[in-house]
Amino acid sequence: MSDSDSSDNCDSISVDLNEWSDVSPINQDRETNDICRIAYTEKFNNVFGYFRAVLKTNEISERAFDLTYKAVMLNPANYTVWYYRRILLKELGKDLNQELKLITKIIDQNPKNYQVWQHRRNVVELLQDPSRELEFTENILEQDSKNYHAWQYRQWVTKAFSLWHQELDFTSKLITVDCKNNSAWNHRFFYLKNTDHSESVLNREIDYCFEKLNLNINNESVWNYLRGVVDLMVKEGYLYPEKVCDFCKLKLETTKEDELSPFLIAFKIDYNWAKAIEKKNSGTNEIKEYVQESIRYLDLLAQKYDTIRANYWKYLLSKWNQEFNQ
Amino acid sequence: MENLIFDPEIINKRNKKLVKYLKQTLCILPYRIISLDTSKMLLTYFAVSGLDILNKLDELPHSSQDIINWIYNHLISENINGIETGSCGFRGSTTLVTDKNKNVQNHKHDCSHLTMTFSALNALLTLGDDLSRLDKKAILKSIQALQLPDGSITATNQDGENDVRFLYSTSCVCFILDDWSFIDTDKAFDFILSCLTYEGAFGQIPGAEAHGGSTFCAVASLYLMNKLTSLSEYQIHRLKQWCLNRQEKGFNGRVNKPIDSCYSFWIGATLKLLDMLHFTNYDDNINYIFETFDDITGGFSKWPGFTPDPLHTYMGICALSLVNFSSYEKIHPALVISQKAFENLKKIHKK
Repeated sequence: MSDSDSSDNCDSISVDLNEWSDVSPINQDRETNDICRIAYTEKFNNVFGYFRAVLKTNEISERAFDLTYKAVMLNPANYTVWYYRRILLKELGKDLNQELKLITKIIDQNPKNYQVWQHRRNVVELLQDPSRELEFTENILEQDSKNYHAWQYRQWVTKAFSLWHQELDFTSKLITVDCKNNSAWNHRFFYLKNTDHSESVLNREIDYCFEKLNLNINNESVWNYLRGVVDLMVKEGYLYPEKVCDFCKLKLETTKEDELSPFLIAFKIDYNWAKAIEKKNSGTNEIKEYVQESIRYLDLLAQKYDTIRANYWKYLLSKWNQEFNQ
Repeated sequence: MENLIFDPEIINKRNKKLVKYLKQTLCILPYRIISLDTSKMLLTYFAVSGLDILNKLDELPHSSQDIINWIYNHLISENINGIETGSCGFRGSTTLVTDKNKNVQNHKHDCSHLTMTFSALNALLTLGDDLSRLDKKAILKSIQALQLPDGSITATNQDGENDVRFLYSTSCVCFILDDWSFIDTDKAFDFILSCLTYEGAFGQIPGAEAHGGSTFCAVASLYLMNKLTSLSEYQIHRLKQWCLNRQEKGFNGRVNKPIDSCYSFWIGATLKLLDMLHFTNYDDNINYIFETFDDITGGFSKWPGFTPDPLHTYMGICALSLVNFSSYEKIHPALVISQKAFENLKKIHKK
């Protein structure tokens, strides 16, 4: 929910009374306006007074179209105004490119409002022209690289119009700027799932994760992404990429104890769990090393590396003991 | 700091300020929150339920009956010409009402909104109403009309937004009205699962980044549908870890994002539903929530020093209740009303 202030300082918003002399505005009823009453401005009452009248008669006209502009400028979160505006756009055969320009301006001012993004999507659907959309979302993401609406919108555009060719480079670019941009990582995974994710591509992505983890081992975004890629490999029926386990081992051995990452340790513990369960089920007894290592690390997590979650790590430790009868 | 937060005198003073803030929300709001003009029902729910959790429902600035009547004035029980359009349910405000009779659809573009229906029901339950004035079938039939082939549900019949937030509102409405027969719960379940990301938690729509608010909506919906156990052991494990990893002091809502007081609720309630909340650090969490308290206006904001708003204020109160702060009323973590209000619902269900 956005509670951003809507500016009401635009003079063009007032209603030209001559133009509307044949219409009686409908006032908002007082009875229901005494609880959670908003101190409406004169202008707001005025515009919405005529807007109510227009809705009541379902007026399809240029002046009604202009009125919807005034109403959305006063409150861009009013979904019915947008909806009505779209009806008018179609009925009056308005220039949709002009509308796209307008919505670009409005999103620029209200980048975290649900309705404006929805409107843009509807307009682009009508136009069937996504040619400006990637650049547009890129501009919005320049202001806030984690804007959830912008990412959701970009995903819609790329998927609906199969605009995949720039997306991998786009995420690489953003990740290079900010390795902790989780939205960019998520988009990268979205790209992967919707395009070629053959074994070689997934292996390439694992190497990409290693490269980023070598820069900063304690980046949750990369660990999650790596896990996602590994899970996808398993799901697709490829062999478990043992190089991931080797990487973890190497990092655990070579990183100074003081700099160990809880995400790295947790990753290895989950790996150990899967291995230990697998071995236990197959009746072999070679689980000792997995159990011992995990218990040692769980203890370290609770005592040293991740004390805010100490209770959780202790609980997980008890689960290990329970499962493997220590 | 910690000592101060748990000092009974300070708790008392702060509670009084919170009560004042919530009462103010129910009376008059500044024009700068105009973007919430169509969501007054949500604000009413936040304020009424907030007072209830603070055990101060007796300090409502209007009579309960007046608020109940006000809420019912937002109900659309009848479509124009009786044609089903998905319009029945509660409006968020009367901004687009044109007629004296508010309980019928006033014009073609007059419609309910799922989040507002959910908010109205929660506020009514909190105020002790027995829901007997509702035409349950009209509401449920409208919801049925709003379900899409992929199982998701749109908030209104107008703007097509169909993310996991509205599945949550729907789940609450079906749970409260005690009737799931109007929606396809299998498809709804599939839609929720399609929002589960590689990170282990839920995004707002399929493909979207895992997010604290969406994760709450998904998990609470599954809980209300009694389908939380349909997740695999691995899925549950990852979900729990993702949620637990959100705590830094307070909680963040996405990986590598700054903490924000509302996620103490969204993540806190999710962890409560997963029976994991007790593994988090309560003192750190409580301390952060109070860092966002505004001693002058009396509400909570998302970050220390920012302007409070009704959402963060209510979420802050709920988050504190979840971790047993002071003598706050306990809440139902999926419906997000007090246990007292939930008891009222159980009585209604028994009738």
